[in-house]
Amino acid sequence: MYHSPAFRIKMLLLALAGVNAVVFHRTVYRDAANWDPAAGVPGRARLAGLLSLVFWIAIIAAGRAIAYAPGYDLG
Amino acid sequence: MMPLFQWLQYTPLAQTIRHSAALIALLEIVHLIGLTLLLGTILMVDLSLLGLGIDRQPVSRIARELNLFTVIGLAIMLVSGPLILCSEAVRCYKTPAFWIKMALLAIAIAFHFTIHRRVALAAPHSSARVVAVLSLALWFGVALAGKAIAIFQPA
Repeated sequence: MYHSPAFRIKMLLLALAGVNAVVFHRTVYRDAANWDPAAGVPGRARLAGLLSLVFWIAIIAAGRAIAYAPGYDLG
Repeated sequence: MMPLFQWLQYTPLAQTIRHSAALIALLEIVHLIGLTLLLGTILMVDLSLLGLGIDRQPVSRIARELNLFTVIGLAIMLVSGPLILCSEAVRCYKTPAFWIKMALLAIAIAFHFTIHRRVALAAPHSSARVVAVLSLALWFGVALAGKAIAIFQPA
């Protein structure tokens, strides 16, 4: 597992997804109660949502790819 | 029914998928993305039926708004699933886990669009907890049986 590139990519993506969530909650989300409904969701919040979707879908793909790495067995 | 599965596996489409590790991996990833949509949204509704989910919105509203995402997830799985199946149809035919998965899937779909749907849209409902537990058992049963197809090879 340690030597699998897919595993390392997955761990990196997990960290990035975490950073994205922390940044979102500490910045634009703090002010969520005051968002203007007429103006829609702020751009930075949309960006956080898009990044989250991309990271998590990529985590699924990388996770599945671990099993396809050369020499992989359950050990 | 074996001849049908043999025919399926030797169609050109099945052979193309069978001989491409990249295509199989891609289909499995798509299947898993469908699974997260399907199971994720059903989990949200069932947790709400159990009183453990989002409590600032009525269950019926959660069920109504998530329904489209559940259906999209199911559609993704019902397209990618048969494509993966046809690439290894004969092995699946001989694997009990495959038939258990198909039986559970049929029951889960029938249950979801009849009893589960009625109870969730009418919630709070006296049968909410029983329906949520049954729903979770059926869908997670489908997922576990699916994983088991890959683990238990036919004798």
